[in-house]
Parts: sequence; C-alpha cells; structure tokens
Amino acid sequence: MPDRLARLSAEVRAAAGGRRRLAPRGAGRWWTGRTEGATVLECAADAGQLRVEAGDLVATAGAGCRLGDLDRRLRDERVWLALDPPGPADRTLGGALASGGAGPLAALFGPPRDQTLGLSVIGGNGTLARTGGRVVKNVAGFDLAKALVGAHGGFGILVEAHLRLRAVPEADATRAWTGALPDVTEAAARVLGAGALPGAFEVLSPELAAAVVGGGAESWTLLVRALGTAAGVREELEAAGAAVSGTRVDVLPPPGDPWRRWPEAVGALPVILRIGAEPSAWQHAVSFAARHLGAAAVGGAGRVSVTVPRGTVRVALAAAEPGALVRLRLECATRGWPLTLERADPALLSAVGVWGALTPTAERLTRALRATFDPHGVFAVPLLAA
Amino acid sequence: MTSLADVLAGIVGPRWVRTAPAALATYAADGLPTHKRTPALVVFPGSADEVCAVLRALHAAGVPFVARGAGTGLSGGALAESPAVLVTLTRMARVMLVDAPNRRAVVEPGVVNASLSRAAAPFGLHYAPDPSSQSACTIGGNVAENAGGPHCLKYGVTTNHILALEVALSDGERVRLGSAGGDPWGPDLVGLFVGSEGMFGIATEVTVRLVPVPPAVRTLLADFASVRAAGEAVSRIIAEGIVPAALEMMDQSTIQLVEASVYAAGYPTDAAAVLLVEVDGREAGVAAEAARTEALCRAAGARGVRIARTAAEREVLWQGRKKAFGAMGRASADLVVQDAVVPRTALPDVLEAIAAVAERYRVRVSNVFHAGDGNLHPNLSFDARDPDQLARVEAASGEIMRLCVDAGGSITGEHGVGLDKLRYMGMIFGPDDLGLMAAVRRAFDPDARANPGKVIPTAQCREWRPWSAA
Repeated sequence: MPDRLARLSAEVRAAAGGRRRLAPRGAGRWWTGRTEGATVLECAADAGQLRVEAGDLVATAGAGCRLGDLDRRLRDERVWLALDPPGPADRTLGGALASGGAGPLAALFGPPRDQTLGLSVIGGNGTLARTGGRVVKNVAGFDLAKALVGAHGGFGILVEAHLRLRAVPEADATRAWTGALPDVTEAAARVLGAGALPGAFEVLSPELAAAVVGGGAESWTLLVRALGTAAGVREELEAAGAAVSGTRVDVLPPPGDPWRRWPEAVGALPVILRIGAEPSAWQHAVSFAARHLGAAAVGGAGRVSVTVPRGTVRVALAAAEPGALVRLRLECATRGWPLTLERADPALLSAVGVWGALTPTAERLTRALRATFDPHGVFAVPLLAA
Repeated sequence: MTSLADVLAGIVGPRWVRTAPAALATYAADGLPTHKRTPALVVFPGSADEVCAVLRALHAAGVPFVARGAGTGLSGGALAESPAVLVTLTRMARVMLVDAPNRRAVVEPGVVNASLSRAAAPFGLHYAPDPSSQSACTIGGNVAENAGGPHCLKYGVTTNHILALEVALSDGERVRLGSAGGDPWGPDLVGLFVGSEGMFGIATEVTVRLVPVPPAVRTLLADFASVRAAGEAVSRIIAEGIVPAALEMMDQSTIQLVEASVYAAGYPTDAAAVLLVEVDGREAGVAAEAARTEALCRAAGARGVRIARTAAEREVLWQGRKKAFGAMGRASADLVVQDAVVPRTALPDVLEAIAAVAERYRVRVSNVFHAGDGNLHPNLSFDARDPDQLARVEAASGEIMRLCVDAGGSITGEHGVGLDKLRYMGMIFGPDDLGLMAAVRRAFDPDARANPGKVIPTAQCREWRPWSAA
C-alpha cells in the first residue's frame, strides 16, 4: 500500500479503535462547515499519479486529483471524461464521485457511476479494498463501485478510480431555445419524441439560463448539445430544430460554451437537491419544488436544471427550511421519485438526510450495507436522517 | 410429514414442480459443458407472489436455491446442487408495459431478450444489450450476469439499461429498488444487484431503458491479412472519436468454421481476420462515419471492405457472427466459450499468445470477440468424453486467463464468474477485496442461501479474509 494510503488507513483504524468519528474532506469545495463531534480527515493532500492510456480509453487517477486538472491532462491526449457534476473545477475527483451527482452529459453518457470502471476504497475498518478493474468491460465479482459512487463518503473513503474515457469528437455544438415553462416543456417533449439522442439535453430556469447562456436567455431555456462527426452533429441539431418548430419557443443565437459555465453556475449555491422524476413528468417535479420551497426561490433566484432524457430535476437554492425539504421529499415519494439532498451544511444534512423516504426494506438494506462497509460507524456522514 | 416438494406444489401447483431424475437431468447443465450439478428439485413459479412464497418456504426449511432463466449461461452460474432447489423463471414472461414517452419497459424476468425489442419496435424503440444468445436468453438472466453483446460498445451493457427492479430477497421479502426514471433512493442498489449472479435475491420485475431505433445503419465487413492489422484498424477507428454501434472481430479459424456451416455469410476464408463494423444514427452522420471507417480500415491494411447494401445483406453478415458459436459445434462434440477482457491495444499480442497456448495444449481455439471493448471469446473445441482432452482444455483456459490478467485485463467481460471462473478470482482480487464482496452479499442474503458457492472462491478457506475482522 502506498504511504499516503497507509496513513489514511491508519487514521481510520485508530478512529475505529478509539470510537471516534471522522468527517472525510477533499478540497472542501462541495461539503462545507464542520460536522459536530467529528474530526476532519483530510483526504486530498496527495492526488496520486495520473495514468492515462488514451488508446485504451482508460485512466487511473487518485481521488485528490482536481477535476479541472484532470480535464486538461486528458484533453492534451485527445481524450475526455464525460463527468460534469455541479461545482467548481477545483473539486476533487473523489468528492465528485462520492457525491455521485451527474451533470448534463448524463443525458447520453450516464451518471458518474457509468464512467467508473473500478475503485479503491478504505472502509470504516481501515482496510483498503478494490473493486472493478482497468478495462472498459468487466463482470468479475460484484460491482461494489455502484454502491460507493454516490454514497457521499458514508461507506468509505474513495482513494483511486479507474475511469472510462472517450475520444474527443470531431464536432461539438449546441443550440438553444427559450420561452415560457409550458412551451419549453412541449418543445423538449417533441425533441425527445423525435428519437433524439443528444450528448446533453437540458432545460434551465431563467436565472440559471442567464448565468449559463447569457444573451437574451431571460426565460426558461432548452439546450441541445450534439457530439460526433460534423455531419452527424449538424443533422442532430437540425432534427431538434425541426422537432420544436411549431411550438412557441424562440430560437436563441448558438451559445458559446454554456457547458463550461454550467457546473460553476449550479454549484454556486449552497443547497442543492435532486429529484429523480420521469422524462415525461419533470415539469411536475419542478412544480412540487416551487410549491414547497417557494415559487420565487425555485423559478426566480434559485437555479433549476433538468436533464430531460433522464427526468432528473436539480434545484439549487440559497437556503431551505428542513421541514419544507422533508415535505417536498414526501410528496415526491408519492409519485415514486427519490429526492437526494446533494449539498447542504452539516446541520441541514443532519436534519433531512442525504436520502430519505425509502421503503422499510430498502432502508434496512441501506443500513445493512452501511454497517458492512463501515462496521464501526466511523464516517460521520448523515446519509439518512436519524 | 409433508415434503418440500409438496409444500412447493401447494404454492405453484403440482404441475410446476419436477422431482424425477430424468427431469432433473435436463437442468444439470447450462451452456458450459464442463460443469454439471443436479438440483434437489425444480420449481416453476408463475408470478412474483409465487416466487416470494417459494422463497419463504425455502427460508423456513433452510434450503438454498438457484434462480435460472433459459439456461444459456456460459459460466455454470445457474447450476444448483442438491439440496439446493432450482427456481426456474421461464413462466414469468410477460412484457407488462412499454412506456414510449419515457423510453422504458417493465417486464417479468423470463422475457426473452429479443422478444423485448420486438415488443418495443412498434414504438420506434429497442432494448440495446444483445447477447449472442438473445433469441433464447432471458432478461432476468441478463440482469444476473450483467450481460453484454455486440452492440454494447456504443449503447452500454445491461447495467446501463436497468432503471428499477422488484426483487424477492432470500427470505421471501419483496423490495423495490431504483425508480422509474433511474435515480436511486439511496445507494445505487440496482447497480449493485445487476451482475450479482443471483446471489442477492431473485429479480421478479425489471424496468429497462429503451433507446430509439436508429433511422440509419451501415454494416461493413473488412478483411485483413493479419490479426495485427485488424487490431490496428480498431485502434484507428476508436482514436478517431467514432463510436460504432458494434466492432467485432473473427479470426481465420472462426471464419472457416462459419463458412463451412449453414450460417455461411460470405466471409473471405483466406483472411487472417475480419472486422464487422456497424455504425448507426441519423442518415448523414452515419454516411460520414461509414466512409471514414472504410478509409481507416484501408489505411490499416484491409485487403477489402464490403458494405451491406440491403437489410438482407446486413442480416447475413450478422448471422455469421451471431451464429459463430453454433458453427463451431461442427468442429467437435463440445465447445468452451471462454470470456476475458484485455486493454484494446493489447489485443494483437494477446491473440498471438493465445495461439501459442492452443498449440502447446493441442486444442483448436477459434476467436470471435468484441474488439471495440477488448472483450475476447476464445472458443476451445474438444470432446468432453475424453479426460485427456478435457484436462488440456481446462489447463489451456487457465493459461489464457493468466495471460489476459497479465496484460492488464480481467477474467470475464460478460459471462460472469459462476462456477467456472471461481479458481481465477484470486488472480485479480486479494483476500480483502473478496472478503468485502462476501460481506456485501450477506447484507442482502444473511444466510448465504441464494446461489451458494458462486463468485467468491472458498475451496481452500483462505482465498478471502472476513471483512469485519480485516
């Protein structure tokens, strides 16, 4: 085991033995504030070595690697990672995988779990374990990475990841349309119904659109991004344009590079939640959020971003009341939609839980899994409200 | 005293419980000829309620069980040895819903893979993962094994297409995992369950993601004078940023066996290797990708590139590939379809090394594989009645696994570990890795009665270290 991992392992072991609790911390750019009764465990002091095999479209990176640095290094080799979670570019890879939140690229490439070929993790007993491998297809053993990505560090400390890369495409372009929410909803449904498979397919609330797209995007905005050959990209965007014709949305000038601005714009707010609705029902999830959290907060100063093909609604806010979040979660649950509190200060997280409204059996399994990975309850991450 | 068979017959009806030795023999093997196990009995539940009731009865009796679909698995993963009961799910074969606006379908586990795409076709949608056995294999089995297939290069494997599951745990309790849109309620229990080889419980309902049927498809066949040149073409295509729907390679032995069979597809029998490349999407983009792919193949040394002009021609080209395993059946009484993964750029070296292994062990090895993702299928022809041949095949398989692992690869890309690969797990995982897997399994199945003896080796009692004590 490398020295840096041996040190982490020893600290976790000591905490387990001493019945102390640890709050894992990466760059400190996502989860902020101090967790009461827990010692901060610095996990990002050493990013480890980055190994890129461009020909095999795989890379191995230490969890402390910053997303921006990783992106630059990969693009130098004409490859890229389809991982664009909200947050600043100096977030760590480990933090991004632990929080598990996807960005707009999930429309085509799937969430972070789908970019993760393998992981090394230090469990709550201080033991280093590996899962998966460094090849793009692999079914040897249980796919434990699926449980670890998105577990917010509550199952263990992610220390290294094998990542699936893509070759940089010949062309990458985006088109935008704007209008009132019902009109954008209809336009999005038509694009989806026309068999679109774009690289990103996102609806943004007015405040977010202004920050990401600029130039006249003052209402709800639909963005469609295509990647591939020049001919294929042109065709995909023309098809999207044809699908929305006849709806009451206005065409915006092609935006410059909204996708570079999206992560920072969404991640600028301290409370972020995600509702897993269906592609045909996301507008109802937006309505639920507005009803419980305030129309002004959600459609106004707040920032809403919807990954249409997955039905994922992300809401970023300046603040939220715990009771309102719980009520919103319960109403979403009546529709079968999970609500994940992706980001909040420790007090709000503790009150609401990252997860909630699970069925009793799903909750029992979740608690059993947590107790498996972290048998001594070392990691102070409020996954489920007490 | 009431026997277990009587109890189960009370749940599913006497017609759906088999106990006669001749009937049990039918279920003693799957698609892998080197392993055989006979279950205590076979039960065929017809609904999720019956599955749960059966599992409750087995829980009360402390009896282990193994779930089985069509029995097309290639790792011995669905074999049950008495006292284990085989729970066969082929009666549960309804497509319950195709929800076109949300691009999803809800199916029972016994639905045959290809019939799901047929059910989705009227809506302009299809289910993308397409194992070679797709005309027979079931979605439940695909979920258990995280099955792949030729078109997974672009669209992803089974795990990328499962949104939600209803699962019967080993005590008969039912739980829903995931959501209709695919977002998890907590940890990604759907992702964890897919590929767990039936050791976490039985999926009784599966919600799958569907993708639009592409409006345009081009299928190309490129032939090469050397495997290395074909490998070079694969690298060039991938490096160009083209993501073909499928990128398959067959070596000369495979080509010759296919061409000598009823599945003959017009492959050039003097080629050292052929690449079958399919690009799909919208018309202009597909035309551009096909032209570029052809140019890249020629630049890498292709002797010729043929493009299917009609759907019928395309079908024939694919028939040769998808029925290659059947064609190999002509070469010998038995066939082991091996499965391993290597980094794509290592393919030529690994194939040369496999040829050397085949020569050393005097075994015919025919390679047909998913070149785009480095997923090899070396097929070993032999006669299982000859102990010497069987021993040579087993030894050659072990060496092939070792050289794939040494090249940075893995022991299985899509067939699973099952019984067959148990002995190789130690090549890629240490005692703590395996100990954690065993512990996670017990979070789902505390008594370890679901598909016992698979995935995690226990033969020497030292392959893995208990996680809690690690």
